Amino acid sequence: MRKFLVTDDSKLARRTLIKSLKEYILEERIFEASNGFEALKLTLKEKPDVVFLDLTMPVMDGYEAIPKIKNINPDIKIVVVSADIQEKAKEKVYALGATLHVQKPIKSDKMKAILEVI
Amino acid sequence: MAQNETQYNLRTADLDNGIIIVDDTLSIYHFNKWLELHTKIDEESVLTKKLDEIFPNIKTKTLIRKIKTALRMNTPTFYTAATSHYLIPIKINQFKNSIFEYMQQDVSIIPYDKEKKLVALIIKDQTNMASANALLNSHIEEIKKLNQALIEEQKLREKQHQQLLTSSRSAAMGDMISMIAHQWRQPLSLITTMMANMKVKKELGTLDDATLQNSFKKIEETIYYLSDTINDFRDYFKPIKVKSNINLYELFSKSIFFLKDEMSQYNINYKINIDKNIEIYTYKNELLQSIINIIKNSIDAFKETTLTNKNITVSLEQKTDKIILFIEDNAGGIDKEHLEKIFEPYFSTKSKNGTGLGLYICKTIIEKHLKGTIDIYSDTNGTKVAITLPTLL
Amino acid sequence: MEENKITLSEDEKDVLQELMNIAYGSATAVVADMLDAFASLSIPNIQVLTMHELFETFDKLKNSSYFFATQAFSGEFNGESAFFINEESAQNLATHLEIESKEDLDDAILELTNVLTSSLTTQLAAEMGSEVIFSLPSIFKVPLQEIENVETFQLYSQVIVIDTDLNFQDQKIHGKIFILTKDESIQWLKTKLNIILEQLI
Ligand SMILES: Nc1ncnc2c1ncn2[C@@H]1O[C@H](COP(=O)(O)OP(=O)(O)OP(=O)(O)O)[C@@H](O)[C@H]1O
Ligand SMILES: [Mg+2]
Ligand SMILES: [Mg+2]
Repeated sequence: MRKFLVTDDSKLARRTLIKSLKEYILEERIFEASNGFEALKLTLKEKPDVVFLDLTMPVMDGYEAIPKIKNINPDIKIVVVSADIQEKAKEKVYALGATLHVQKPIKSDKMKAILEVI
Repeated sequence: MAQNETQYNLRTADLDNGIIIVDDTLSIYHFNKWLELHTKIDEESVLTKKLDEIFPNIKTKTLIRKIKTALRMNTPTFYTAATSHYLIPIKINQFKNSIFEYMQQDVSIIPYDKEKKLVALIIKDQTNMASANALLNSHIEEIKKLNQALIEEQKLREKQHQQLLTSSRSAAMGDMISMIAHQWRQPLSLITTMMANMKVKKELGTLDDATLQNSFKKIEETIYYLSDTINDFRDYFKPIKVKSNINLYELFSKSIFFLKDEMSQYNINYKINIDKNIEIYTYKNELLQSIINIIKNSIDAFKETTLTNKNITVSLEQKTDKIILFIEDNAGGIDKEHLEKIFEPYFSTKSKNGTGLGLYICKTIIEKHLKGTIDIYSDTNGTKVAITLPTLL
Repeated sequence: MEENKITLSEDEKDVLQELMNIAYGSATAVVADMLDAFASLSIPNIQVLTMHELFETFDKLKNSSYFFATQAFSGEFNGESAFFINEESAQNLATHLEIESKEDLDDAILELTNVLTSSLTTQLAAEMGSEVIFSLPSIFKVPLQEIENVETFQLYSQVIVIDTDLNFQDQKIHGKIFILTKDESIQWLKTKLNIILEQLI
């Protein structure tokens, strides 16, 4: 069973995502972080297999967090969940090592698709 | 919504406004009565032709850009008389008191048929309005001139700043290596010892399979540990971005904006006793991250108290080539037996929410990357964190 | 008016901020496409301000701004948007779009305002199950020293200000857009935000 870390500065975004994630994953395997820095700490401590990551966040944004998380565990899957749907944004996160880029918000059926891919 | 409004506009506006329906290559599909009257051109003769062929003054690129935007977003885009004056040249018949030779037009570009990529261009006569606007516009010129000077100055400053940056890009590799060496000494000697043991046993002929397996397993584990320490202690907190000038007052007021909500939620008074113009040159993100961790600890500590008068105060002391930042709270302090452990990784008294990595990482960042020191003093009243940093890193 | 100042709770703010973030994401994608450039997105900032406080905010921008455009939108969710862009950015925009005349530049800026306003408000309204309509012609340019005299601004007592930056780093084009909504619209917004919140519990 894999562990999941959900990272977003918005509570709404986290709630929405976790609500759909819980349809497929046990709640105790889901952790929450409110910015890239918290995500880094939780990646060290909880060793998740999959990190959902927003891009625009205070303290440490997604762009800064991706390579740092990858450094902790090169096999970790990073799913960038962002409102930024510009092609360049996608290219940039893939170049940094993200596994997937999906547009916000993530409702149930989108989550199913994500879990199938990663 | 857009659809209904479009239909509505098309019907009622037919006599008062010009309407042209074109696709995104400017081929004409409809040219209404109003336009026929004003331009003296028949609809017959323009259908399927290109709008910019009929009216060569039209800026093809701009118009197509607007049409595509309107179609893509499914909402109207505009030309306004205030800036574009007119799309279709129509001479004004009135000979007196007009500052314009041509009818001034507001043009709305409304998505009409998404499939066929058609838009309706609705043209309204705005000559009277435009005369008023023309007067207003004259003001803008003055400001433009004033601002030009400012911009030149800003450009110069940016250039100087850039020069400063390039000359100071030195990584703190040496420190990192010595830190890793320190971490590795013990496990490395463990591996050496085990290898030596095996060698001896082999020579004596007492090396059995079980011992061999066991030793290999231990060595493997130790090697994992080694690579873990590289990770754990080196890379994630290494600065990616370049150093910059940081105004400390702003760092504590603006940059921590999102902590302010939480502080007011718990009725915490947050005071900044720092001179507004003190700057240091260092890694902004890393400093900010450390400060946020420290302030968050204070906020967390207040959550456990029933105190009515809660204060977090930051202040600053200036030395010749360094500064000392103080972040102080009155949240009851840290237990004596905990105090020596707070910088250890994973030490936390917060049952489920704490990772215990906050202060450990702060220390790593401040000492290794920002070349400073961090000290924590605590008594039963509260906690005081002192961060010493070089003014120019 | 001061005594019944409307406030937004943390949760309400968070929801609005996130919805705005999503709306702004698509708006930016359109603008980025239009300009063939890459924009970096920032976190939208949400505040309830009195008009006096709003003018103070504008005033700070004035020092470095050259252009100010506004556009009204109506419907259940109604209000006005304001877009600031400074001289340097405007020049860079001109260079980037190969624009030569001042008129064309003004026009391009108004278009930016329009694209941002309409896609932001349309999407925000859509998230809350509503629609917005733009009254035409509603975009205009205001000389900076006359911002406070903008007629429609006199109608507001307090406003929810959602401000966010438009930031094309490579082209050095920076702008700031404000979405202003007033009294009854704020109340409407609060109700809708709370419905969204409840659905999540
Ligand atoms: N200002 C303070 N007042 C009281 N106790 C504190 C304060 N700062 C730190 N501590 C103590 O030090 C411990 C370690 O702090 P640290 O920041 O390293 O981890 P944490 O806050 O527990 O977890 P996290 O890093 O996830 O925030 C805390 O659990 C707390 O007991
Ligand atoms: Mg975010
Ligand atoms: Mg902490």
